[in-house]
Amino acid sequence: MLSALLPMAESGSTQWLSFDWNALISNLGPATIDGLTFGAIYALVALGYTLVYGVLNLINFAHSEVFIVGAYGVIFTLSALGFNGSPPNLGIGPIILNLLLAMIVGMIASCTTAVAVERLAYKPLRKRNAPRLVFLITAIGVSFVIQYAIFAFHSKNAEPAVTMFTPKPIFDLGGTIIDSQQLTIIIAAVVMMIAVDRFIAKSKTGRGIRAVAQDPATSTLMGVNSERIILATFAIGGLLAGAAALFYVMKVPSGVIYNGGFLLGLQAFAAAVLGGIGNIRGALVGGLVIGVISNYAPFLLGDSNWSQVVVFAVLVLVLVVRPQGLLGQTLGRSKA
Amino acid sequence: MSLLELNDVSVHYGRIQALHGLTFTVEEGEVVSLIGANGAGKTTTMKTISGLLSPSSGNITFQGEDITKVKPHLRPGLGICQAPEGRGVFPGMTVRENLGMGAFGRKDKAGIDEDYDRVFELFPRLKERENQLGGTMSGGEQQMVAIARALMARPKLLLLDEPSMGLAPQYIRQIFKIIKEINAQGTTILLVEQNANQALSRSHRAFVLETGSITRAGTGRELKADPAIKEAYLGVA
Repeated sequence: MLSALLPMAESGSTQWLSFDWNALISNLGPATIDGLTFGAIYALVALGYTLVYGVLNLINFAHSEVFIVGAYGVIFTLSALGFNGSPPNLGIGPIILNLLLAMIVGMIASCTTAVAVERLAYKPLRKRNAPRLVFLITAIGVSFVIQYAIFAFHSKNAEPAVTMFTPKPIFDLGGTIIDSQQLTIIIAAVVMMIAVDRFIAKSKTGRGIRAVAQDPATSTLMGVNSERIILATFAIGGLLAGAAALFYVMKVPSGVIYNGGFLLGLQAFAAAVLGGIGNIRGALVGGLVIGVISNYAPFLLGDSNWSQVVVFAVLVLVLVVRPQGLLGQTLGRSKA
Repeated sequence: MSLLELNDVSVHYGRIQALHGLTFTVEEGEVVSLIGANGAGKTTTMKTISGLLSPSSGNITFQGEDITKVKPHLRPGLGICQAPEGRGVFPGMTVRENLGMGAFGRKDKAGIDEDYDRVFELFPRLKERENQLGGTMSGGEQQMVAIARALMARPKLLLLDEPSMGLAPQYIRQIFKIIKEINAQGTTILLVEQNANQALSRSHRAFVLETGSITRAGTGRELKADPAIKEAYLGVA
């Protein structure tokens, strides 16, 4: 029986799965740079998962919709400013101003959504001391409510694409061209994440967030208003998701659709877990790793459909070896 | 006017009544201890004073003002701060950051700096370990952090819940010595203890709590001499 199957398996394996290392190696530079660009976006969204998890031990599955609402805010603003169709013929200054405006609208939209979800869905559950499972199911429920509210009240179709600017090559890194779009996204995302890391380490609200994450009851005894801290945590996660939304629209101009947050949210959540959930720097590392891996997969396996298989297979493998994630510690335990 | 007054305070956990009409006072400048067995309601009393639990009836006044309905996170600002049972040291914060949490609601930077100096003087060991993470300290050191942190709120009333729990004897003596010193510097202290011997020796007055009611009251010395207390709490027949 076994011997009968073996030749089949052998002959089948070459068609079923073949690794094209040459394709990957010849595209290694561009694939890495673009992977880091996507990874930066995942990382910004991952921070929202990680911060809320750190403070409430809750996986906020509605965060993917917090993100997509921001993306709608971005794309509406940009079409209103005339960015639909070919990129408008503007100087660099006006383009930056317009993009900043779109980002601010996206951040406000996402932040408002995050805060509303917390106040309308999670806070009432906390007041009633609901079990953890109830929070989780509520999170999934809210995620679907927002998705299908967009579907029902707005549109089931993707928004028309907007083009912000034509990426121009900025510099050549040993044969790999880095363009203005990639550079903008990576630098902006890293700067934002460093800012959040410093904010959590140094500011009064940041100290409150760490205290509530480590010991909510004692925080209250020390005079920390934990409800205010929880709200701030959702707000920060929302602001970062809104910023990520602008970069997402840059990279995937036709990706703003009611369920467009789902896969990205899952990848960002995977990034948070991969880096070590509750760990701010872990979110950055996890995001970049997942971005790069998902960009290598199509070259290695010849088809972009493999991206998700590889990403989540790597996630499972890493967690088997290191269940606490790459950087381990939780927000609670990370040192300032 | 007493610094703290509990008037007929009852507390329920769901349907179970944990405190049955507790009435007692703490006067300014005193060390008062509550002693009693496990489950007598000592920690419940502390949590009710700091506001983590709400009484089902009765009221609590502090400096003559009714604070029964004041939110717990506002109470340190009024002058009540607690070193909780089990210490509650923030494991991922350094000793200095932990102490800073005690002053979370304060804005007088100069006063806060003064208080860092003051608690480091009381606990020189913590000065040595200033940058060590709370979670890596020994039990005795964590208890010092918890007491010092509560002092950083510059409380008028310091609540200490089982400061000797799980500590080695040399630490227990040290902690009680420091409690006396803190009191001598002018802070009123309400102490909950299973170590009745130490608690009664160090207190001006004490109450014995049994299943949610006060069964005996007196000065530390009186209670220490009481035969029933000797038998039940001091382990001498």
